[in-house]
Amino acid sequence: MILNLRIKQISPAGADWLSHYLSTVEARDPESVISLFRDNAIVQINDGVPVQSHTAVRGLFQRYFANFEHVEHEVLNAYGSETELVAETLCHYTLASSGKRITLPGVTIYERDDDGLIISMRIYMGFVGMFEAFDAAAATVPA
Amino acid sequence: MANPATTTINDASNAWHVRFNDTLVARDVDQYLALFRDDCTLQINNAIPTYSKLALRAAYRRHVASFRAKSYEIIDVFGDGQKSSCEVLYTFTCHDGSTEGVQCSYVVDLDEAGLIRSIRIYGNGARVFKAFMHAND
Repeated sequence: MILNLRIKQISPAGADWLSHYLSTVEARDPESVISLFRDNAIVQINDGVPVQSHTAVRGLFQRYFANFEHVEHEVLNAYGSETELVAETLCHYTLASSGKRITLPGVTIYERDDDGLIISMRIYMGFVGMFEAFDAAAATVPA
Repeated sequence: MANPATTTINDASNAWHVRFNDTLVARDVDQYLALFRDDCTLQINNAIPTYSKLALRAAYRRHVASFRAKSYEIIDVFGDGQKSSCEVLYTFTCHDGSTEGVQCSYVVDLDEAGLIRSIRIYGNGARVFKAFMHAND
């Protein structure tokens, strides 16, 4: 996880939490990630149908980790408070299927409750390069 | 419509995002371009950025030609007067009269004069713009 923040960014405590969250995701253990979410947390990707509950979010991360052999985040900007924040991030992925590396930029908005657990997480990102990489990997699989 | 559920920004900065979105949906090219520096950069997801106000003029014209009307609702604003992020829901009226929503987020850097130096827009507009293309056939 690379925290590459410039001036006028989030507080040190907010940056610490963000760093902890992203490092936990990079460790690829679904249960550790889920422990950072409230039971009824909502996760939404772009304007897709939101998923809600630990069970649904666990499923989301299990599929995520199955697709990627390695994930590294590079945070470019982070604004907001410790409980409500936004991070603009470069996501460096290594696809599990091919080993191919792709980098996609995106924005994630986090809302946390008084216990510090994530209530809502909304991810905005274009997946054009990612799907092209999947297609290329699939094309190399023998019939 | 400004409807920030959670915000850490001051009123003046929040007003900038309202003004920006009012201008964006007004479909007036010159009014829109007046918000940008000459050497601005606009990037959507991981696509090749659009550099300069000249290139942006053509891109904005293509954009507004692809739908009949557009409105917005601000969900969140974070940051300060020069560097900030806005989460917003756009509702498009297509040429065939149907409506489509696109929820997205943009990050903007302003210069000392308040002009846009860089804006990066993140989200998935493929579904709605596919519908536009179909409606335009």
